[in-house]
Amino acid sequence: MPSNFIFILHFHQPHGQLKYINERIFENSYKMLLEVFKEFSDLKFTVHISGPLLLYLRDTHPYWLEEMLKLGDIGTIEFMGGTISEAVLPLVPSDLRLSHITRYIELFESISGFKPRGFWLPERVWEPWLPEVLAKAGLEYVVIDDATLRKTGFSAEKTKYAWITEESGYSVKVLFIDEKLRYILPWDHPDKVISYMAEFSGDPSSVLLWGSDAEKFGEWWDKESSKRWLMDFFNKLRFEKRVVMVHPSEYLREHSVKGYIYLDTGSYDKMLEWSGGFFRNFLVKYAESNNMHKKALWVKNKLLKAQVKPEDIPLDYFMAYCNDAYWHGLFGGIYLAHLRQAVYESLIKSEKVSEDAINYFEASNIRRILADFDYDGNEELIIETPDFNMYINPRDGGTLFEFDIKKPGLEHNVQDTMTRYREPYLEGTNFNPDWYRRTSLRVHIWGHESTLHDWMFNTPFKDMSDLALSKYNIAFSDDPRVFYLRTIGAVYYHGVKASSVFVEKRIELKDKGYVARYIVKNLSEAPARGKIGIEYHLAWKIDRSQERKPWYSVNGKNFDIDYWLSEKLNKLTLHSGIYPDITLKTSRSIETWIAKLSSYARTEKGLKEIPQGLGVMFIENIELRHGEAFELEVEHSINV
Amino acid sequence: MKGAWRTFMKSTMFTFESIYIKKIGGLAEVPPRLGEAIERLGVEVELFTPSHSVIDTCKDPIYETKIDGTTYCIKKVSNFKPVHYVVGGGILDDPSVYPPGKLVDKALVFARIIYEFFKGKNSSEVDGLVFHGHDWHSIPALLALNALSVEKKLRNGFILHVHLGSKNKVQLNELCIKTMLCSDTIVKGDLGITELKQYYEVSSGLIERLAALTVDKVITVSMNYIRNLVRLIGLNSAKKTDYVYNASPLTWSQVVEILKEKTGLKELDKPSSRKLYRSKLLTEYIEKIRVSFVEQVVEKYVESLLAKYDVEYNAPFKSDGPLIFMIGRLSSQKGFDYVLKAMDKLLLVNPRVKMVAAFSPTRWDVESVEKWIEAMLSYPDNLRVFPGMLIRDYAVEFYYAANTTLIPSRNEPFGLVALESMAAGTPVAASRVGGLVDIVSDVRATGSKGVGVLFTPGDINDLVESTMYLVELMEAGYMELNEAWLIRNSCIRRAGEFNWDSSARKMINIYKNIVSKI
Repeated sequence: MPSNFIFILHFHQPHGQLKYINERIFENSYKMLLEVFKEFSDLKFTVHISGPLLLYLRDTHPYWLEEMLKLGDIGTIEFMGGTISEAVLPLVPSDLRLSHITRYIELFESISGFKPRGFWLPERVWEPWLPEVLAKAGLEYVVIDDATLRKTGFSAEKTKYAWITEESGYSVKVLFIDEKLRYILPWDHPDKVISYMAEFSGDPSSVLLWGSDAEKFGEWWDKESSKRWLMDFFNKLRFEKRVVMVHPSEYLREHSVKGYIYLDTGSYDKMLEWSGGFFRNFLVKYAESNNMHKKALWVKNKLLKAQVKPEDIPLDYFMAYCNDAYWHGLFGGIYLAHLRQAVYESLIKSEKVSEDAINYFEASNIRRILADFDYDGNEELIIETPDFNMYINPRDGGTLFEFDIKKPGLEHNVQDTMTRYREPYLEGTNFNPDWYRRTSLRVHIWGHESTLHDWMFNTPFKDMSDLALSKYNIAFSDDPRVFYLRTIGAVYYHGVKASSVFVEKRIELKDKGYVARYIVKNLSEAPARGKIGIEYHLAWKIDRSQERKPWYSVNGKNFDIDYWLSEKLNKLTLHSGIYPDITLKTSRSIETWIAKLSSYARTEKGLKEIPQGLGVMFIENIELRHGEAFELEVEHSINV
Repeated sequence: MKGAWRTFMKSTMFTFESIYIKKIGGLAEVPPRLGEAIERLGVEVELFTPSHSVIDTCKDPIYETKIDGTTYCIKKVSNFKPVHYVVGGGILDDPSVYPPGKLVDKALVFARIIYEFFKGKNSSEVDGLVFHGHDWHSIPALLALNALSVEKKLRNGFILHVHLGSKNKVQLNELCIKTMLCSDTIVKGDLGITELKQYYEVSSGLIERLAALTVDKVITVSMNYIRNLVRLIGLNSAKKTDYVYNASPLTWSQVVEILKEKTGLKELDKPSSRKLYRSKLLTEYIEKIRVSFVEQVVEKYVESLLAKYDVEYNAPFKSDGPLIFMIGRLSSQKGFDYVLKAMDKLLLVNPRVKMVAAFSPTRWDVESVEKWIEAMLSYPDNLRVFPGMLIRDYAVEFYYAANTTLIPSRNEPFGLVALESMAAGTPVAASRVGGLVDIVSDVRATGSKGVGVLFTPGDINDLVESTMYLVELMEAGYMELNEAWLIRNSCIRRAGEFNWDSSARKMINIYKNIVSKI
C-alpha cells in the first residue's frame, strides 16, 4: 500500500522587490517550474503564490499565470490561499487579520475564478488563535511544520497524519511539513529521497509533506541542476509504487483527520532558532522592525478615526505588512533597505488617505503629539504636517528616528537607515555592532584620537560623554514650528566625570525640512575637551526598477557613494537619480565626515555588503571653558 | 474628689516642629495653632519641643540635668501661644530638625529628658494630664510618660496625633540604652499593665503600631487618611482612631491685607485684578523674591548648583501666561517628581503656561533639587524654581495670581497647601489622596461649587488632563459671575470652613471622652 506524498511549492517575492531580481527569478525559476509541471501533468502538485508576487505576475506575466491556472483546471495543481501581503499574521492587528486573508482570496478568485481551500501560513508562524480566523475565511486546512508539533510535546509519529485543531469553536485541519524530507529534498539524490518516503508505505492513511520555497529551484540552486534533479525525481515518482502524489484536499477527503490536537506557538526549526523561539522577538531585537510595525499601528488608528471600513482600506496599507522586511535570518530581510522603503512608502500613502478623509490638518497645519509610538512605555514626540512627519525619541539622545516625506509620488522615510546588530554569523569576523541606533540629531563628544573609521566600524567608537543616549526634555513654544530639546550631560575622562554640559537643540520646521540649532555649553569650572560630533544618517531613495548608484556632492564636486570623505564644508547634497536632492547645510564651514553606512549579510559567496544610507558627522575639536558654548545650525531639507 | 481633678484637665503636647521654633512642613503649624484655639475654649495647653539650636535653653532654664556628661535644659517661653517648653542640649540642639542618621537618637533623647522632667515633679502636678504627642518623634516620650504613669499610679490620658505616618522601626535595646524604656519596663495599654517587651512583640517594633497599643486615642488629620492610618497601626487599633481636621493657615482677609500693601490694588476680588497682578508678578516682581534656608549646608549646596548651571531662580519670565503654582517640601511624598515627568505634556497642551515652584529642600532632597534646577535650563520660558523657603507673603502673591495650585502628592494626610491656595481664591489640581479628598470637590462633578480637580496620583495623563482643564477654565474666566469667578468664591468659602475653633472643639470632646474613662 503506497503512502501519500504532498509536494507544495511556495512562490514568493516580497513587496518592494527590485524589478531585476523579480525578472531574474522569473526567468530562471518560475518559467522552468512551469515547464516541469507541464511535463508531469499526470502528477499532483500543490502551489501557493504569495499576494505580492501574484499582483506582480498578474501585471507583468499574465501568460505564465494563465498556464499555471490551466494546470489547475485539469487537476495537476491545487492552489492554496494566503495573506494578501504574505504578512506573518501575528504582526497584523487582530481586527485586520481576517481581511488580510479575504483580500488574498478575493484577488485569487478574481484571477482564477475559484476559491482556494487551503492556507499557506506565512513563514509558518503559528499561534493558537489562528483556527478562528482561518475558519472565518472559509479555509479548510493549513500547513505548518512538524517542529511546532514537537514544540508542543508530541512525538514524530503524529506528523504523518492530518489533525484538527480548534479555537473558540472554530476549527481547521492541520497538515505537517516533514523536516527531514525538507532537508534532503532536493539536496540528496532522488533515489535517496524516494527511499526515505518509501519507509512510510504500508499505511495508506499516512502522508508525507514537503513544502518549501519555489525559488530553491533555479534561483538558490542553478536552473540546469535544479531542472535535472526535478525531472529525474518526478520521473522516478511517476512509476514508484510505494509513494503516491496527492493534493491536500484529496488526502483530507479520502483519509480525513486522525483526531484533535492543540498546538503551541511555532514555526520551522531555523526560524525558531533565529527568532529565539518566538517570531515576535524580532520586534524586540530590531528597533527598525518595531518602528515599521508601530508605524503600521499608528496608521491603522488614523484609518479607524477616518472610519474607513476594512474592505475600503487601501491595498497599500495591507502590503506594508509583507513579512520579509520585519525579520532577519541569514540573508537580507530587515537589512534590505529597498524592502523597508516599500513598507514606508505604503504606510505613508495610507496615512495620507486617512488624513485627507478626516481633514486632519483642519485646525492647524502642524500637529504636535506626545505618544508612546513604539510601545516602550515612554512617549515620543511626533510632529505632523501635510507634507512631512518627524518622529523624535527624547529618551534616545533626543534623536530623529523617522522623517517621512508625504508628498504624493515622493513618499519616503528619509530616516530609514539601519543599525548594525550582532548576528551569529558575524561572530569571529571584524564586525563590531553599533551601540546606538543609527538615526539623526545625535550629539557625541569623542576622544580627540577618534577617526572616521572608528565611527563607521566601531573600532571602537569612544564617546566620552553620555549625551548620545541622554534623555532630553522637550519644551514647546508659542510658535508651533519651533520646539526645543534640552538636556544636561557629562563628559568623562578615564571614566571619571570631568564636566557637565548643557545641550540645546532648537528645531524649527521649514517648508522643505527643518533647521536644528545646536548649543553645547560647558557648565563646569573644568574645561570640556574632546571632539564634538553631530550625527546624521540619510537614506537615499532606491530605484527599484533598475540598478542605479547614488552619489553626493560637496564643494562643487561629486563623489561616488562609496567614497569616504573628511572635508570642511557647509553644504552636502545627496543625489539618488530618481528623487529630489537631500541636503544638509550648516551655518558655517565645518569639518565633516561622510561615509556610506553598510551592514553585512551572509550569502553563499561570503559576506555581502548592504548599503543602508549615508552617514554624516559634523566634527569640531572643542575646549570649552566654563560658560563657553559650541554652536552650529544645520538645515536638513529635501528639495520637494 | 474624683471629679475634681477632671476640671483641671490640661493638655501637654509634644512636637518636633513649631512655627515659633522651626518650620519644615505643615506640622509646625498644627500644635501651636490648635493649642492656642483649645486654650481659647478654656482648656489649658502646654507644648514641649526641641530647641534645634534656635533658643539657648540653658539661659534661665526651668530645669537642668546632666546625662552621660551632657547638659540638657528646658526653658519656658511664655510669650509663645500656648506656652512652650523648649528642650535643648546635646543632639536636641542639632540645627537640623530631622538630622539624617541621628533622628531616632534625637527622639529618644527628647523622651529621656521629658521623662526625667516629669518624674521630678509632684505626682499631683502630673496626675490628670492628657499627653498629646504629634507624629512618631513624640512616641518615645509618650511611652516614657506611660511608664511613669504606671510607676507613680497616675491617671493620664495618652493621644498620638498622626500628621504623617512614618512606618519607622525602633530597636528595643536602643530604646533601653537611650531612654529608661527597657523590655521589663511596665506600661499600660491594650494588653493590660505589663512589660514593654510584650507590646513590642505584638507591634513588631513598628513605632506607630507600638504607640497605638499604648495610647487611648490615635488621631489623624482627615477622614480619608484614617484608612492609611489603620493600615499603619493595624486593624485591632482601628476602633481608637478619629480625625481632627487641621485648619486653613490663611484666610481671605489675611490675603487681602498682605496683598493690598504689596500690590496697591484696591479691588482684589475683581478677576481683572488677578490677571493684571499675575502679569506684573511673572514679568517684573518675581525678580525681587528671594528664598531663605533652614539649613546652612543646604543653602551652600543650592548656591553651588545655581552657580554651576548659571541660572537665576527669580529671573522674570519673558511674557505673562497661565500660572501653575507649586509649593512644599521636596520629599518623595509630595510627588513633585511626577510634574517633572509631565512637563513636556503640560507644555504641549499650552506652551504659554508658566510654572512656579517653591520647594524647601532638606539635606535629604539634594538630588531632587538638582533635577529641578536642571529643569529650569530645559524650560527657560516656562519654569522657575525657588529652591528654598519662600516667606508667606511671597507665597500668598503666587497663590493669588495663579490659575491653579498643583498638589501632586503620593499621599497627603491633610493638605494645608490646598487650603492656603483656596483661601487666596485659587482652586487646586490635586492627587486623589488622603485629606485632599476631604477638602477638594471636583469642578467637573460639582460645577462652580467645586474648588479644584482631582487626579489619580502618579497618572501623568490624568495629571496633565485635569490640571490643564482647570488652567484653561480659569484662564477663560477673567470676568465676574462666570464659572471661574464662582469657583474662586467657592474656594474662599470652603477654606473658611476649616478653622481652628472647629478643630479645637472636636479635640476637647476627644480629651473629655478620654478623661471620663481613665
